[in-house]
Amino acid sequence: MKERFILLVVTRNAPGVLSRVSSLLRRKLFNIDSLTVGRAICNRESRFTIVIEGNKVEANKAALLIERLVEIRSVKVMKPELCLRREIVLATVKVDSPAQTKILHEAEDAVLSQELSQNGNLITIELIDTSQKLDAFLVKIEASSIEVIDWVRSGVIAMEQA
Amino acid sequence: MIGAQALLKALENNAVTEVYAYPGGTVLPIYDAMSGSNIRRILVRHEQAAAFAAQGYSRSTQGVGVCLATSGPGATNLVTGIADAMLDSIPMIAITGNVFKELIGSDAFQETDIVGICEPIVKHSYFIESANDIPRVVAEAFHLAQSGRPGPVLIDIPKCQQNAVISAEIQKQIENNDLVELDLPGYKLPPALDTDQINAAAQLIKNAKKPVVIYGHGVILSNAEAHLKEFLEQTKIPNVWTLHGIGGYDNTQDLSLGMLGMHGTGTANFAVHHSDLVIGIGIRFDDRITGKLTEFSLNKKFIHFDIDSSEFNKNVPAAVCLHGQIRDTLPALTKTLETGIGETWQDWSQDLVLKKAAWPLSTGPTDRLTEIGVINQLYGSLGEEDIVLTDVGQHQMWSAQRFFPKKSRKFLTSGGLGTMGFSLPTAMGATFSGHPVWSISGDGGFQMNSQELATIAQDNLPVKIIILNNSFLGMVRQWQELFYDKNYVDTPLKNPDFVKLGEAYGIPSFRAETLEESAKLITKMKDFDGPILVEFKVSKEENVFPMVPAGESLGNTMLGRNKKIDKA
Ligand SMILES: Cc1ncc(C[n+]2csc(CCOP(=O)(O)OP(=O)(O)O)c2C)c(N)n1
Repeated sequence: MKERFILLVVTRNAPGVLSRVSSLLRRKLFNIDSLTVGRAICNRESRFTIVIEGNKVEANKAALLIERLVEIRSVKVMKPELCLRREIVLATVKVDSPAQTKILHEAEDAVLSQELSQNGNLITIELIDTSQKLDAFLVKIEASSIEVIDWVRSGVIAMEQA
Repeated sequence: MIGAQALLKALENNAVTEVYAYPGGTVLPIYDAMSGSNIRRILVRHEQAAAFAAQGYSRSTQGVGVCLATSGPGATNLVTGIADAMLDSIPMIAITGNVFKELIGSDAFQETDIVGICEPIVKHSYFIESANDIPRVVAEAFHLAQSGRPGPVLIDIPKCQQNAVISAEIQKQIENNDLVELDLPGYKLPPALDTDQINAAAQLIKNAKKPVVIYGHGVILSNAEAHLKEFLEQTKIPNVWTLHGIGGYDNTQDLSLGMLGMHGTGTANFAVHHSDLVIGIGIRFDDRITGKLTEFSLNKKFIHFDIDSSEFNKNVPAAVCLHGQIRDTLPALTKTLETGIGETWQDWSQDLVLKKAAWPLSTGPTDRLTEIGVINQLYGSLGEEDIVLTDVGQHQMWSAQRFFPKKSRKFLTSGGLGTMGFSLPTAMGATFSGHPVWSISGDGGFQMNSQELATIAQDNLPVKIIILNNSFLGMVRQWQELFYDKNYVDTPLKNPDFVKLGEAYGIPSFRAETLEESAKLITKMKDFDGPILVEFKVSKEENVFPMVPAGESLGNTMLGRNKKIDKA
């Protein structure tokens, strides 16, 4: 598996910051696995979680370049294992038999999950966990021929362990 | 008071005296306000020239040049000049008008997303949402452009905000020129000295056998020339410079080996290639100085001084990184080194001094008029304060190799972007330094901005214009000669009569075809008051040497067509 690093970035909550950060990473040819952004507690700030594929040297380079942007407050380069990481999936699956229902429930039990709605044999679920566990969920479901009708992932958010 | 008037007042409050500008629909309120302001307008004939003229002011003084253009095509015409400023770390402020806010995003007439277009080529940019922000944004723009690693800042102002009435409170603030509070919470200036790193650098120097210093633009941008002098004179480390390092040190000293890089001197390239410790001061190890990177960094250690930490380990791995203003870090290092340390590498130094004598720069043929001949005559007649600008190409390299100014900010050239058309408009801005200004161009590059002869004539800007006409796009022709079997595709030029062209604009214009005529005309130019143009008809197929073929190592520097430094 390729090495990954997580950049925890705090920026000003200003128009254009997302574009400045993402286009910088694009033009310097970094490989972005995932990029999420949302408001921080302080309304004037935003927090980015950027997962980049590459080694430590590349991750540090990316951090220094991002830090150079005027609206950046701080950048931290983290090994993924040293962060708390979570991602959300919303999915609708089609369950056609009791056997499939059983497999679905087993798969759901392996992650933090909740069934949000049901319409006949269509079930919409919410899953929250690490990206790896969500990947594993999908593998399991697909292996048992449960049809995935819709599937959307949030991208990872992460923070340092307290 | 409306936004446009607030803008002018804010510029005045930041000591702006000229704006290089071109009018259009979305900057009309600003033009209207300018007529009532003390700021002088320089009416360029193409917005690219406005950006370069603003740079010329910044490069030759320590100020910040300002250019202004209308939305759409006016704004996009600035782009090359902004990119050039970014790559050479030149402080500059570009102001553009834009369409009314309600129309933004609607593909309105002459709407372009100039903030988006310029994102990769500015230090920072602003889109003005409210006229009340103008004084703060202008103050921030000046601060950002000049502090830390300098660079261009763009301010895009929709016309509605130029027309909008500002609040009484803000009006009072700028009328009184009150200190404007900046709102730049994330903007960090370099940290305090790191004494561990200083000591580590000192240790590396003490252990070195073949050290060499490469100094660059950062020394000048940090006003650290005196500190560099002290460091070099105390340590007696052989030294070389980058294109933009010219003037960072009095480079006529014995251990000053020449410019480094693709057209660097044999000795400079040899020294860096064979050194065991490179001390890079305010340089970014650009490919034009390193040649083949893997060989460049072989068997040597690096100490790197820079204000921008993203430059560290970008191209070469540095054993020690000294982050900060060079005027702070360099004297701190000098203090820790003993005088007499230079004896450690005396053999190395002496060998280099011998090499320097053995591999002098060509003085050029004397049987015909060549670029080198004209440049040598010019340099022989320059005063200490004279400023020389070049365009891009062969003449740029010949000029750079031979320039030994006593002061910094006297050699202005487009280094990072290598923009043809740079010389003439940038020279216009440099005239506001109050010093004599010589603009050198090739016949190709001159025609990229020759329309500025009109600006020069209209504003009587005292530019001494030198056109080195070899009837070719010389530098490209040289590559075609050396690497494409003389297949001269689109490099021969059929040129206008440059003397008639100059006269058409009302500028006294002359031609030199021999060394004698050339010498006479240079004397005439030197003493001339006001703009003057001279075309020098030089021989057509001269080549710039030394030369490192693209992608090769500095060790393969060609001193001439069939002579390399490793075989010499
Ligand atoms: C705007 C731009 N276009 C193209 C080039 C590529 N280029 C570099 S040097 C050169 C030739 C310059 O010829 P001239 O201005 O006559 O100067 P000389 O080399 O003869 O001194 C060209 C075309 C460039 N640097 N800038």
